[in-house]
Amino acid sequence: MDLSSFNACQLLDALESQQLSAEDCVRFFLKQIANQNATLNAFYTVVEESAMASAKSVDQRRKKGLPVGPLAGLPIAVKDGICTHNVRTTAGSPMLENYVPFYNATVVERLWEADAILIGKTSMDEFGMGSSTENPHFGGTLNPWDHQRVPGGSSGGSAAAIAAGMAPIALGSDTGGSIRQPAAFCGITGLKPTYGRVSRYGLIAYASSLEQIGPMAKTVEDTALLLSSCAGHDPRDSTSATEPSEDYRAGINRPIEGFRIGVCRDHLENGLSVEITSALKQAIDIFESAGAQIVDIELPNSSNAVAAYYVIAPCEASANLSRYDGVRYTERAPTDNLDQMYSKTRADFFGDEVQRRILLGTFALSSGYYDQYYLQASKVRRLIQQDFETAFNGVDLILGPTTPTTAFKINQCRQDPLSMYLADVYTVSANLAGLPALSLNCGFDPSGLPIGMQLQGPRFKESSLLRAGHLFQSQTDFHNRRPA
Amino acid sequence: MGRSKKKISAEHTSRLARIELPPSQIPVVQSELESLLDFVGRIEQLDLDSVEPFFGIAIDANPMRTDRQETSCDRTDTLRNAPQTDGESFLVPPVFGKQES
Repeated sequence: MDLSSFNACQLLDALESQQLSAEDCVRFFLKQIANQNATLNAFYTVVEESAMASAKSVDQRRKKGLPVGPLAGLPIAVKDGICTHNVRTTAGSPMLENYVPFYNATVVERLWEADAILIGKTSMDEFGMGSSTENPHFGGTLNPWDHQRVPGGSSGGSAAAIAAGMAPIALGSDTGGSIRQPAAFCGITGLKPTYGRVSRYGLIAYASSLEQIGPMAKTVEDTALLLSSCAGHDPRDSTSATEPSEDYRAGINRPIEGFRIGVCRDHLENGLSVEITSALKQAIDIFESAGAQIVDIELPNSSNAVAAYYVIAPCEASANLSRYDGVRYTERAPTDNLDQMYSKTRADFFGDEVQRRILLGTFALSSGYYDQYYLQASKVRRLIQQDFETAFNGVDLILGPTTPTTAFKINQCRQDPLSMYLADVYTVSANLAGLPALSLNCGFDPSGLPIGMQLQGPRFKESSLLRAGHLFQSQTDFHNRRPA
Repeated sequence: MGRSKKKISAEHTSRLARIELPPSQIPVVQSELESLLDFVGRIEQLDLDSVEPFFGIAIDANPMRTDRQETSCDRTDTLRNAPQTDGESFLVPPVFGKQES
């Protein structure tokens, strides 16, 4: 049976009704990986043996009528920046090339308890710092829609794996757009939850006040399914929210009649290609026909979001990555004294972009510059948060583009860091304000590349985004199209 | 706001960040950092004296756990990924370099 066109909810139905065994399901996706990974490089590590053993255990329990978890038998790919017990976790860095965690991230533990089956760890930009997954150390990942183009990043491996039918569902993480931008470039669905909605325990830290782990899948309903198993307070993450989580899939069919959808005309009409604007306008028509009311809104400080982000994120990175000093984490440059060991290890085992951001953050936090950069950026962050608060007084969610362009070509932005940073122009604001945001495919450009639409909502209103996204997918078929 | 335009030194910053840059790389990194600071520096011009900074959601609502002693990581596990240990501790090179014997 060709399962590559099945979404995760359909697979789960087939598994639950025992029309499909977990072993056959896992075997199918492992074969897909074996056939395609040499070309696409979406996985750094594949865990065939343990995946087949877990599948066998699920099948045996099902046959005996014993209880199984809500995701029993569903294969899942996990971004390689999320710790997995006894499975190599590189974060895409030479610094962690041989790092094998002795614990699971909380999300991985929850998936394990839900009986989902880990099939492998997916490629990424080093420590999540990038928008293209052109990882110089582990090799670039290709966009399944066009092998000359990038899949986006930093969760590019998870997005490419789903688009290519190598995994039905995956986890990514999003610090400035790293779930949503690759979801847009690869024509899949990706959700960055509210800050604190999903535990960050076991997520290899880049910028702690900005990042969240979140689901990536073919459909909105699949992301709702996965979020339900991952969300909720975790005592091991002091920033995880105590706000109760919900069964996000249960309410997904509720109508959106009366929803007020905010549209920032400036985002829709300036800086986008004609095709992206046109696809978004068609999406607006669909929502209007479904009974939503479209309301013009302003986000006046969003033009400063990328600048603020590229101060705050590097500052946090410079602190978070200080732990990689040659003492605890696998790699060390041979030297004669301690200080040289730190400096040489960090020079030899961090890639260029990571070094660049650490240097930028170190400078911005250094004596005499804190007020000028970090404090000023944190004030811009306040203005951005207030813009959203004002907007959400009058609307339930905000619709706009995920990215200014469709997937760009390999090497197009690599030599120019700034042009890469600007790929995040529409996504960083949700991270700065800690809001949930969903990206889904809303059309294709003339080259056949997917176009991403972003829906942003107030804190903890994932359910509103998922309802609207599901409504859109119930009336369109973009999410069902796959690369040739 | 009376702020003078200050220049980043890639060499000095790399020492602060403990990242050894080869001399040939210093001008390249210097130019990249200057160009990035030019870009992010646009926010320097904004008059934000009356705006409260926002450091993230967690600062506003930090849930506390019960103050109870818990088991920490196992020593063997903790040392497993280290480049050099004696089975009980992390080993590092001498602070002042190798001693002449």
